[in-house]
Amino acid sequence: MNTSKTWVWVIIIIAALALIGWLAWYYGFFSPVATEEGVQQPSVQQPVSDRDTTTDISNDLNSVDIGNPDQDLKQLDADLNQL
Amino acid sequence: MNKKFIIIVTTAILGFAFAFSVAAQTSAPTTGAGLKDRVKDLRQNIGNIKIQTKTELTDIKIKAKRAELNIQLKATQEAAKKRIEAAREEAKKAVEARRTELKDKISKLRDKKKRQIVTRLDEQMARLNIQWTDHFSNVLNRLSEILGKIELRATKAETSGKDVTAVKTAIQNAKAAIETARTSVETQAKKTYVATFSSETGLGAAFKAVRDQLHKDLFGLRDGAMKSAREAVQNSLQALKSLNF
Repeated sequence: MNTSKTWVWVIIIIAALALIGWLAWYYGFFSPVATEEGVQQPSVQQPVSDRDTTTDISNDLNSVDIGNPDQDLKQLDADLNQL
Repeated sequence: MNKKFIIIVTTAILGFAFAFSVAAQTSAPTTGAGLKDRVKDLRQNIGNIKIQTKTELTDIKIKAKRAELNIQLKATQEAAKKRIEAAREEAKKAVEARRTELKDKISKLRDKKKRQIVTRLDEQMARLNIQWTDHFSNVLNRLSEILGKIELRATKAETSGKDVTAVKTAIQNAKAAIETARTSVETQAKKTYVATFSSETGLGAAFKAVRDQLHKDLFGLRDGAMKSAREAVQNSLQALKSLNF
């Protein structure tokens, strides 16, 4: 009787931990944070696919983001305003 | 290597065709109807072999083109990386004296908080230029890869009998636009952003001027050469799409 109760508790605890883990992942607690100075490295998205139909090439080209330095420069402004 | 392979394949096909014809002559039935059927079969076989050979030759050509493009891409990317590194090194040496002077002036500031802020600002502006020139360089590498795929697809279209003159012209234009952008990125990598100030009261204005210059340069590069390169690749894709291949 006692053994089966223990098992029930073990299963409940495992389920609770899994739920907490999933919630943490879902709400982005594991996402990389900005660097110490608040400047994030701009990056090129996923690699170019091997397929070469015009639709695939079009998708590859659409995923190329030239970027916007504005956000990074605004972070400099925060420091500049303190001078 | 490919030429050798083509010669071997062609010789094999001719040998095959010869063997078939000899076999047909030796074992074919002598009646008129049987002979006709045999000739028909033989023609069918030769036709199939021709189609198969053409497909194989096209595959070989495409594979060779892919290998050539990959080698070209790698070489271009490596060369661009080295050029940017050399430009940064050159810039670092050119600005060394001014940076030492700035550090000296910063250390003499009475306000500790201001000292920390200007040190951070100086480091961030230098880092931002490195990060964004690296990013732009990566974008150009990617555009080159995509253009390579367009070129490969155009080769396939050409082997199947399409007129790819317009695509080839667009590809050449895109290559030139990417090269222009690479030169602009290199020029940007050579630039340095070091504030000069004579008194503590002019500190904010001095750093703001440098920040504004960095803003102007990065946006100028992004909205100028970088966007032109992307548009040129887009034009190549558009020309490829118009082939309906």
